[in-house]
Amino acid sequence: METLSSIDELSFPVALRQEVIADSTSDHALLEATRKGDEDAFAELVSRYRNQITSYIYRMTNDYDGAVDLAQETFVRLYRAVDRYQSSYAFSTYIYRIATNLAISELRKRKRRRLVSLTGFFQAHDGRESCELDPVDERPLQDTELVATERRTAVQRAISTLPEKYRAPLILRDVEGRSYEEIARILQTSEGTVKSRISRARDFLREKMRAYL
Amino acid sequence: MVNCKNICREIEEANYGEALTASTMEHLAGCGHCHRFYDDRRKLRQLVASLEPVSAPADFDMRVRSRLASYQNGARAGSLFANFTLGWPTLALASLVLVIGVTLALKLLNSPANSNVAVQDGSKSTVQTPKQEVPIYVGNEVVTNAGSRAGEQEAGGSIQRPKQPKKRSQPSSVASLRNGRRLATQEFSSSATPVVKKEEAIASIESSPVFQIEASPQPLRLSLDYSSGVSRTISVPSLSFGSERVLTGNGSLVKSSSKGSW
Repeated sequence: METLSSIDELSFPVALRQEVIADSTSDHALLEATRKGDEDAFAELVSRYRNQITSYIYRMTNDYDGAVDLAQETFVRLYRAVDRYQSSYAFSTYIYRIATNLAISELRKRKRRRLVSLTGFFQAHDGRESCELDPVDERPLQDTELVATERRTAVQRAISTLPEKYRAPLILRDVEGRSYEEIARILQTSEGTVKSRISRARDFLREKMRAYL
Repeated sequence: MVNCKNICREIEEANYGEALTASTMEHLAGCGHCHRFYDDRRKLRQLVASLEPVSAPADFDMRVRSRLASYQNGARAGSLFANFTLGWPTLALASLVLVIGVTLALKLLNSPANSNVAVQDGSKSTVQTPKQEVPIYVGNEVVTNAGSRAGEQEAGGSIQRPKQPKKRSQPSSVASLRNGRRLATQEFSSSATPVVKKEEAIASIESSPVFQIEASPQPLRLSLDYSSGVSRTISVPSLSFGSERVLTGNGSLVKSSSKGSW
């Protein structure tokens, strides 16, 4: 009986997988092959983007299990809409747009599920945007590794309290390293709006992370 | 100050780790405000960039395949309702259908054809005079005037028709109903009761063993004439207090126990 070294081998034949990778086929070509019914091409797309999409959704939702679930849903949506894909933009833009929409939809669902919102107490009354209350634990930790971990946790928590319209561009820019142009296409807005929102998001974050700066 | 604004914009829009231009660096060396802004942004972006990427679980691909398989099975099983979701449009449509259905049901219930009273528009409210079926006794047979005329011919014209009591105008009452309609009713229970004197009865028995007396009180008949042309007659039988006997001179008995006629 043949033993499997990785669970990935269960999904895709090793020979075929290596052949596809070696081919370094472009995303567009893989998507075209998927459209024609080549499931292995779709599997290659999944393996190329699964970590990026999971990570991005995790930064948006701050919930790993939910992020994995939404990342899978992203690929299912991609597969279902493969016939509607237009190759005028980069494939990554397309898949990030799907992921962003799913993440924002999830955030709105969560907001509706809240029985009592404490954020109302901290809303600005002068028309300015407001952030949710998320007091940062400023107690210092002794161990360096623990300090780094705690700092990352604080950053993640601070990001997750940003309003969703600021959160997505900030993550795409400062975590994912996407260009303004690509972010504008993912979020289907103008570059000027993206720049403005990122600047505002950094201001919010700076206020929340003052203890760590 | 305009220059500071441009410098800050350049700092803001620069890629992470990208070197700034020489002129900007020169400005930063002499401008405390822009330098603080540069430091803040650099530290903040460093902090955010320190977030480590998260990996998908090992069975991610399998789970995606499983989802796709269930999606494809579901699409095959119910392609008609594959995209059906219980969203606002669906709820709005269902509400609309419900409102229309309830409205129609209420209209049907309130329509005159379903009411149990004679309702007619305007002042033309009339009550159909009930056809009175008067039983006539021929020997042991009972024939009604609404029945076959053959029996009448068989009897050779010997059937004694009772004298119909002179019709009096029967009291009627008119009541206003909703929707401006009026209800007209006529009370038959107050109609005159025919009186048969004993001598007349005995005399008629002597000439013929059959005599007929109109039942009193008569059965209450209420004719309902709907505006749709359908009419309905409701008959309420009169109360019977048992048999009546008429004692003739030679002691023979004439007995009748028919309902409402004797």
